[in-house]
Parts: sequence; C-alpha cells; structure tokens
Amino acid sequence: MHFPRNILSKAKAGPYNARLTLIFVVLAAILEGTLAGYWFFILQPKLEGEISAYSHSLSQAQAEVLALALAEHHGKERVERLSLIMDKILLFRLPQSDKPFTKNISLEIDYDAIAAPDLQLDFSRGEPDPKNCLIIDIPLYSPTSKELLGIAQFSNNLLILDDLKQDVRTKLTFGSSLIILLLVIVWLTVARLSGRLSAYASELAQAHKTTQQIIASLQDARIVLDKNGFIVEINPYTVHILLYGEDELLGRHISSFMEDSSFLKDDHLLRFQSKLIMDNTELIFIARDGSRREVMVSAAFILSEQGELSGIICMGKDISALKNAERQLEEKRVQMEHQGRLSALGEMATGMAHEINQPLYIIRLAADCLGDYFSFKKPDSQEAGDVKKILDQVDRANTIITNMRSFARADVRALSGQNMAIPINLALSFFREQFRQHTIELHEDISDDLPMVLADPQKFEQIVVNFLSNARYAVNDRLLSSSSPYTPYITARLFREDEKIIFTVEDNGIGMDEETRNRCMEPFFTTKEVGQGTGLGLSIIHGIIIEMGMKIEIDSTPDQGSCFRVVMEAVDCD
Amino acid sequence: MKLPTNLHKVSFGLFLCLLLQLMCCLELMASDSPELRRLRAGMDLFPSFLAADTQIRQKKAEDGKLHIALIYNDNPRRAEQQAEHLRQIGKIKNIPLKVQVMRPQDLRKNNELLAGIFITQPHLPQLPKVVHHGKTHSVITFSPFNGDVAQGISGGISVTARILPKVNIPTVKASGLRIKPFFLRIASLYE
Repeated sequence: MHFPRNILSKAKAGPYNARLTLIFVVLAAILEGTLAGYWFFILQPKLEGEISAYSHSLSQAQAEVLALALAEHHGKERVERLSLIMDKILLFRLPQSDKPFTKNISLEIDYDAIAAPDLQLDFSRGEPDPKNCLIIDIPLYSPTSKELLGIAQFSNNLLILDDLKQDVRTKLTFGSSLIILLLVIVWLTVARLSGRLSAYASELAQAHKTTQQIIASLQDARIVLDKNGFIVEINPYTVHILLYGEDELLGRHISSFMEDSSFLKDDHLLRFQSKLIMDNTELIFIARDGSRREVMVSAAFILSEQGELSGIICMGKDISALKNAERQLEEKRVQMEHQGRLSALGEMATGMAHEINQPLYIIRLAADCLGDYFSFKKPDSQEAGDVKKILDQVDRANTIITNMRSFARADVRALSGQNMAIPINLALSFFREQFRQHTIELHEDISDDLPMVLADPQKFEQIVVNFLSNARYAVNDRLLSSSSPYTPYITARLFREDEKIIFTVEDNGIGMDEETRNRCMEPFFTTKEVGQGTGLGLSIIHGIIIEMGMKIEIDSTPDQGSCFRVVMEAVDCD
Repeated sequence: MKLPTNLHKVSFGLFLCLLLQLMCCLELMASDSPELRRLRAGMDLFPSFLAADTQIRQKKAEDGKLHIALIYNDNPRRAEQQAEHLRQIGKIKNIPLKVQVMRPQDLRKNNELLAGIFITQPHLPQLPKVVHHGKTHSVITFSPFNGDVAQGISGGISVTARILPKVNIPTVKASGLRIKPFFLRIASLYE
C-alpha cells in the first residue's frame, strides 16, 4: 500500500489553521487595498472629472444666454438683463439636497471688445466668497462677431460631488464588507474542512504507521516491484533473508537476486496477470553470501486505471530450512529403509549361518580327525598340508559367518589398535592366485611399520576384500569390452600421509560416471547384471567405515579406472 | 421589340436614382463626420482668435481689409463653405474681412499681407510650409484638427467637456504675435 508521503508528512506537521488564517487575512488585506486603491486612484478622480464635466456643460449652456445679453443690450438695460439672468441661474437647486447648484457668478469683461464704461459690467451675484466650490471660467463670445467679450466665472456647488462620492463610497464599503463577510464564511468553512482533513490525515498516518509496523514485523519477505521488475520497496525481513542492505536492493532488478528469473518473462506474467494473483510458487534467490534461499512466493498484480500493469507486490516465505529438513527427513527415511533391509538381511544371514555352521562343524570335526591322523602317520605329507588348508578355510568361513551375523545384529565390537598391514595382507592372500590366473597385475605397496589404527581387523579385512572384488570386476569388464590391447592391473597401497594412514585400492577398469560414483554407496544400487550383485557390498562397507570412524573417498573416471581411498587416524598405543 | 427598349430606359433611370441617393447619403455622412464638426467649431472660434491679436489693426492690407486665407488640399468646396461663413461675420474689430480660398502653394505666390490662415482639411501634407509662412510673416495660423497645433500651428481648439481655444505658445512667440492675456486666460495653452 502506498501513501502519498507529502500528505503524511503534513499530517504530522499539525493543523494548518494558522497558515490558513494568515492566507485569508492577507487575501482580505489585498482586497481592501485594491478597493481603496481603486477608489482613490481611479473612481474618485473619475467622479470628480465627470462632475466637473457636468458642471462645465451646465455652466456653458447658461453662459450662452449671458453672452447674448452682453452683445445685444446696451447701457443700463444690459446690466439689468445680466443681473436677471444671473439671479435665475443662482436659483437652480440640486435635486436631492435642495442646495443651490451655483453659489456665485462673476463677470469679467474685455472692455476693448465692448463699448461700456470700465468696470460697469464687472460684477458678481450670489454668495460672496463661497467655499467648497468648483470654479469654472466660461468665455463669453459675441454671437455675431464671435469675438471674446468676457469671462463668466461660475462657482458651482461641490455638494453634488460630495453626495455622489458619499453614495459611491457607501456602496463600495457595503460591497467590500460583503466580500469580507463571504471571505470569512469561506475561511471558516475551509478551516473546518481543513480540520477534518487534518484529522483524517492523522488517522491515515497512524494507520500507515501501524501497517508499516505490521509489515516490518512480518516474518515474510515483502517486495514491491514496478512494472518492469525493479525493486521499489522492501521490508526488513527481505534484508534479513537476502543479506543485502536496503540501499543495495532498492532500484535493482529482482532477477539480479534470482537463480532463475523465468517467472518474470512476459508469458508467465501474462498468465498470472489474467488472474491478478500468483499463488504459491517456489523461487530460488541467491543471498549475498552466495547461499541459495528457497522462497515460497505469492504475488498480486497492481493494475492502473487503464488496466495496465503498474507494479507487483510479492510476499515470500523463506522455506530453505523447511526444505533442508525435508531433505534430511528423506535421507533418514532412506537410511531407515536401508536399515530395515539390512535387518531383514541379518535375519536371513543368521538363518543361513545357522544352517551352514552345522556342515562346517562336521567338516571341521572330520578335518581335525584327518589332521590328527596325518600328523601322526605322515606329518610332512601333502595330505597333512591339505587338511590344514581345509581347516584354515573352514575357520575363515566360520569367521565370515560370524561377521555376517554380527553385522546384521549391528554388533559393534570394541575397537583396538591394529597394524593395518595384517588384515590387508590377509585379504590380499585370497586374491593373489585369482589375479594371477586372470592375468591381472597386482601391485602391492603395503607398509607394515606404520602407526596403529583403531579398527576391527576382521571388518577391515572385509573392506579390503570388497574393494579387491570390485576392482577385479571392473578390470574384467573392461577386458571383455575393450578392443584395444589392455593390461589390467590393481594396486593396493598402505602408506602414511601426515598424521593419516591411507589405504588405497586403484584399478584401471571401467570406472564410474558421476551419477554412479554419487550413488555407489546406496544400498541395492548396482551396475552389475541381474544375479551378479546384490548392491549391498559398498553400502555395507560404507557402514563399517563410518562405524570405525574412518573416511572413504572415491575418485573415478569412466574407462580409465577407479581409486577407493580409506583415510584412517593414526593412534598412539603407548 | 419596344418593350425591352423601355425596360432599359426604366432600369437606367432607376440606376441613376439609386446613384443619386447614394451620393446624397455619402454627402450627409461626410457632413456629420467628427472632422467636419471640428471644422465648424474651429471656424466659430477663429474670429475670437483673430480679435485677440493685439496687432490685428496693423495687419490691414492696402485695401483696408483683413485678408484671411482658407487653405485646402483637395476639397475647395468645403473651404468655400467655411469662407462663406466667415464672410457673413464680415468684420473683426470693425475691420472688414476679405476671405480667400487657396492651396498651400498659393501662399508663396500671394504677396498680399495676410491677417490669418485657416486650415480646412486635416492631414495637410504641406502643413510645415504653412507653419513656416505663419512664423516668417507673423500671421496667425489656425487649424481645428487634432494634432496640427502640436506640429506648429499657432492656434486650434481643445475639445473636452467644452470647447476652448488652444494656443501654441512657442509658435506664437516665434511668430512675434501678441495675444491678449484675457484671451489666454480662457485658452488651453500648448507649451
């Protein structure tokens, strides 16, 4: 969810009423100032000009009559006539106030243009020395000669201007007061709305904060992508999973952190976009330390008003631990299955050992008798030697059976310090003749003066036998399949490497590919033909090696050979 | 075939009537134009301007009359109408008037002493010559048209809520004219 940050920040800043009030006060001041300016600089001069023009026009009209009287009459009659006309003019009243329109009229004559005694016609009528008047000089022309005869000076009452100004001022004041009142109403309304808006914004900010806290506390990764797949928002848990800093993640493409970004391809997106949601999908992210993080991702697509993809909100749960647990569980299940099979095999081995022990016991009894007989009669004869061999092999068979029974019972014997050359040589003695007969070169490099190793010699002999048996199979198989000259060989070595005692069996047989090498320790896994192997050999060996605290390493290349290497810890038996 | 001939005559007659009516309308419109109104108002004030010249009596010609020239550019008829108006006044300061209508270039040819020059047409191309003539011969030049006083004509009219004479003080001084202070009191002065 995205909140406009400016709204939230303003909500935190508190109410704007003071600022709003200031704005309205300034607005009202500007308005009043404008009106005052309009009144003083435009309206009042205009009114004065109009009143002046009005006065001039009226005076001009009256002056025509005066000029006519001045031109047409002479002597005393002219004075009388002029006085009469001037008195008439002085009678004119303002329509509303009933005050005289003209307070005074004075005549000033050009006696060069009129034949009259000097100053006879220079007189005035009306209020002497009038105040608050508009003085207007009107020239008096002769109607016939058009010559300037004199000047009539009209002192017109300015009350009409004052009345008009007062009237306009009253209207202007009323209008401006009305506007101020409207402004105040608007201000109150806006302030109220602003208060509500501020409260809503505050609630919104609080809700946003709570949401952010919830998101921050989520144990799920939350990533918001833009329409092109670039990261625009993450929560702390995402940082926790991917181990990158927030700055390193923001602005980068999501595919930078994914093992496989195919889900971002258009066809995938379109498929999910049609549903507007992507249900749980397992994706693998690569953390900063290079570790793989398996994440169960669900995504919701944000569409613009035009229906176009504008972003993706992804929620991811780190299931790496779960997956590891599943894998470990699977391994345990396989091990338990193996154990079950081994247990069944042990039961079988116990039964078989019991059945074989009986004939072996009889053979041994008979061989003992024969041995006693030949040691008494022919102690150095070949028969006495053969009987001894029979007895040795019966003992060996008996040991093997005992081992099988103990293995099946998971019988762990106490380990003791052993010279590993002894069980190795014993095992090799079984194979020397076989290898010779099969023209397999056997190279032995067994050091018998090495430090002791904690081991069960019989079980280790079993390991050596298994290795040699497998090596024999490998070289024989290659011999059969090889068309070129091939000399099979097997090398057994026992040597010291630092503090470790190393036993290796190396062959140049068919070798193993990677999959076979990885799976060769699995129970019942075999590359041999049906009936030729049970797939248990290396599995049992592996169990024995682990049981004795040793390690096994396998190096193999197809058609070149294999090398089985057992790493043992040397012990100080002193 | 008579009918078409008569029809032509009637049509031609109607056309002439329409043309006549159109000319009358144009004349009426022209007689009511603002410039014509200024011309008439100016002509009404021009005699008072002449009477305000304190040296008007020395400007009588040899025939004892004040010679007044009305200048036109391409409309002598209008100038003649105004001349007739001035002739009706007849005298200024009891000195008879002799009103003549002429083109600006005729001023140079006319060697008679002039008391005043009145412009009867606006936007006179030869206005500077008239101004020059007025200044060099100390003759009142008067134009009722807007802007001419500013170009150097010594007198005109100022039209606001009332009509007042307008006096170009620099030109008056340059022309050596002497105007009555009484007249200057009511005049609009251009300085």
